[in-house]
Amino acid sequence: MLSCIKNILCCVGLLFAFSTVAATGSAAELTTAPQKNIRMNIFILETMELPLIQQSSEVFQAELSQLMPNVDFNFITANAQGSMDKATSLITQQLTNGPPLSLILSIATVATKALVATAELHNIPMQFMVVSDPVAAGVVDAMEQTSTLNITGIAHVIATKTKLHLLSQMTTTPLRIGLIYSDYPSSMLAHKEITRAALDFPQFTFIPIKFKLATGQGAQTTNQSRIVTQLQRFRDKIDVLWIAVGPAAHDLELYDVIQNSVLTPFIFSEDERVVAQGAMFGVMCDEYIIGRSTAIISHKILQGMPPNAYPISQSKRFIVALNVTTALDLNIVFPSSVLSLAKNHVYH
Amino acid sequence: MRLTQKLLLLFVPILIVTISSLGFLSYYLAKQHTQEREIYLLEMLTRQVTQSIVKDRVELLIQSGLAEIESFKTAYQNEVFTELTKLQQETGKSFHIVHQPSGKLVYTSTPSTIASSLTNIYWPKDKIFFSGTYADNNQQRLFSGFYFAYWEWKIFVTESVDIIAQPINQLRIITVFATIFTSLFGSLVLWWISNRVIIGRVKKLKEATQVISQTKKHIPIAFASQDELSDLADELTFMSLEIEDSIKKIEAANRAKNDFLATISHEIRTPLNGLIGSAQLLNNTTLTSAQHEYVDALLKSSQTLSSVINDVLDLSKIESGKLAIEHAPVYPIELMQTLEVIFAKLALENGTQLYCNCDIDEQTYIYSDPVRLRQILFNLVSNAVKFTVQGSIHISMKLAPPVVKNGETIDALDTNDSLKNEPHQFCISVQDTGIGIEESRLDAVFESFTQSDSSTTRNYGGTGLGLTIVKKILTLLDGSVSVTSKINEGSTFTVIVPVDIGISENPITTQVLPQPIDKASIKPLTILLVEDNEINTMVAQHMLEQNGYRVISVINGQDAVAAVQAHQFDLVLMDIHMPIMDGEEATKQIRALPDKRLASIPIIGLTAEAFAARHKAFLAIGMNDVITKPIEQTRMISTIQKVMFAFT
Repeated sequence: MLSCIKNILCCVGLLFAFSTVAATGSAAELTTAPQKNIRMNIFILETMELPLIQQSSEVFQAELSQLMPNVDFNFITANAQGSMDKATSLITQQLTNGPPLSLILSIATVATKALVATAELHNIPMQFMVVSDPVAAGVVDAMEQTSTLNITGIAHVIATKTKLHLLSQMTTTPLRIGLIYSDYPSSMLAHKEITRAALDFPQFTFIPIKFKLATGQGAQTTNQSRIVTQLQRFRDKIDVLWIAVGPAAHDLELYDVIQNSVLTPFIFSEDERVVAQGAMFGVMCDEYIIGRSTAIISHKILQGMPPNAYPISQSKRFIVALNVTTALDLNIVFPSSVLSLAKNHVYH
Repeated sequence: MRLTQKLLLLFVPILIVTISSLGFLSYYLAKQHTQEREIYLLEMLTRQVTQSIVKDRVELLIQSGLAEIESFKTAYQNEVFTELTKLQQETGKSFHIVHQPSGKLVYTSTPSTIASSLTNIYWPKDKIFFSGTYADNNQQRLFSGFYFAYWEWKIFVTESVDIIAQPINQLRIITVFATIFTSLFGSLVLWWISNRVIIGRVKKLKEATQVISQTKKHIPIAFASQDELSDLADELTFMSLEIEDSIKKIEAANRAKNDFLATISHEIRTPLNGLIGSAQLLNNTTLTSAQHEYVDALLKSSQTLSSVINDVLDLSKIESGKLAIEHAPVYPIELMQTLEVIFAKLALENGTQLYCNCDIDEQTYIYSDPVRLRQILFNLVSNAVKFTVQGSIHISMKLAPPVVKNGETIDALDTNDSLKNEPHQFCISVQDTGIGIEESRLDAVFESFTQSDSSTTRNYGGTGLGLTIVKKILTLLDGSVSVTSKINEGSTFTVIVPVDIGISENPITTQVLPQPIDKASIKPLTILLVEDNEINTMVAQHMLEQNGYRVISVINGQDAVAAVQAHQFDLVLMDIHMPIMDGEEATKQIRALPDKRLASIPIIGLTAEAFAARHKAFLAIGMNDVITKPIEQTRMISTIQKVMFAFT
């Protein structure tokens, strides 16, 4: 039932997204289009150029426009290129030179940290998304609490224990799992969480494989190279790979790069598209869940409700994606309880 | 057995059988229903199991494109088995899966299951769902099955029929109790209905018949509804009408008979009075021995005729139910003395000795009818005297022990006060050494107009009514009479009468009637004799004058009333039936005279009417006493003396 509802919501979200995009493109041609008598400026600060970040941003914009059809939104988008300094600079610049803002939305951890750091400079409502750990990001002291700042948001990363629990349902075979993470804040945090959670699942041995995250131009290739280099060192010590939360988890070229080099199968990915490529399973919030759930809260904030009236919470919507081919290669059978969660996210 | 009980005995078994049958049918249907319901539940469970445990998994595999991947198929089938095992623990039902093509039992939640018991179940080819019963390990089980074509599985959900034993047992108990309760309730309702519809009306009919039998009168009985009982009520109403008519006719006939008897009695007694009186007067004159013999014969014949008339009248009264029994103290010793006085001399005339023995002391009296007791004894003793020549007669009286109380016999003659009014048996025995009675005739002697031998009447006279009257009177007294006899040796009559006894503190003074008249004691009274019959007037007048009375006679009541006012009389002897004015009217007029002295003059009725009721009527209108014709001189004189004694 739960999975069914999730699917329906996802489909509805997708439909909304498409319809919003379509409506935006053809608004001038529609004589019956609602009259937009309010103009609002929304500043969207993206941490870096990642498909999940950018697509979530697009879904958010479309969804908010759909929810508030009489508002003429001006979405001002900026990308921090993974740099905290740049993110801070972009915010300051926007506050100084940009039009009056109704809302500032940060996407991913670095942008959110910069937003929190500059919160004292203004009283504009703030919101974040695609942050795995708001506590670590300094937004709130604990989950399910309201922030002392004028900010709220939803953590769109699923708890590590949930992921490991699903894996334990799929196989009881001991596995040596190479955990690829970087010095990116959320990635570091994910490493800690996984290491801690793995204590409850002794059949799984996580072997940390850290690399230094490069940012800026050519960072993707650099990062891929660094990961491959690290993997080659650990090739004999690991059975499967687990890409931790962070920019690398959403690198859609990384899977092929690794398969072409070290051939180690992916057992888990935070990105459904990577599962489709070959990662055995993934538990995540996709861009539709992220964009839409954020837009719903933005709608209420723009209607006058203060952001810190909303406790900062974990997303209650997620999808499970499975790759059957990889599972068969690993001699793993998804139990029906897991398979039924995936439903339309089963890949071969 | 009462009608209600009979109806209940008839209907209650029918009711019980009917209700039991219905109860059994209900039980059978309920049992069937319970089994069907259980199978239905099994079917529901089978559908649920098939859908949620098997079909959903297969659909998931198909949707995920994994249906043909053996590892997934096997894993998911194993999941099904695991789920069924859990379900077996939760529900207590057994689950089995048979692979249709191979007939192999691929799964069972109950290891003891014999595969063949499931594979041998007949399963129609066109059925996906199928249910029923089968035997496994000699145990009857219910099953519901579903054929799941994708995996070619026959999925069975089974359970022992014992699962329905408890509700069926409860059902059985409920049925038994319901049957008993319904039978009892039905019986009560039946009893109530029969009581209301039948018994109540039958009771009304019974009451009506009792009233009819008691009153002999027309009783209208009507019921609201028309049925056999109302027809019976109509018949009873009609019958009561006929009874009333018949009774009226019978009463009219009886009145006519009584009137006839009274009339004929009166008409016979009146000349008989003259006859006997004349004979008695003649006997007191100087006659030759031959003339005395003729006069004696005349007297005896007259007295016999008088006796016959009395017997016929008594019998008539008894048979018409008019003989009323009275209860008064009777001293047996007095009774015995009377018998001795009257019959000793008569017996002696036949050369027979009369012995009297009374074992009852003179203080003890019994409660009975003195007149009827005397009549019984007179009849028996007179018979003994009549039939005994040159022999002896023994009369004895005693009180037999009272009835037994609590196994103790109380001494009859115990004079303890506590025995007063205790029931006793008054036993009289009259034993003679007379001609005796043939044994074959002993029973017949108590029948009317029957004597032991037809020659008896010729030789000894009598009507043959004496013993009949004795027996009938004893029946009225709740007593009995029996006889033992031998030809030429004599007879013994034994009479037993149940009586209450009492003890008198003052012993009675023995008084025997009639006593010889002491002419010296007779005062010279002036008597008005009112009599229309010349002969009777002559006889009565001579009898009175012989005893020193002065007599003036008149011939009707009117003259009598006038005479009483015109002359000074001491007493009036008043005949009843007279022309112009009868004795009753004359008595009333005399009693109504304004002169108190004249109005209170003693009046003694002279009548040939023998019925006691009439005598009471005469006393009621003011007569002081009544003398029945034929007049016996001694009785008349003693009655006059008694009345005058009381008057003065």
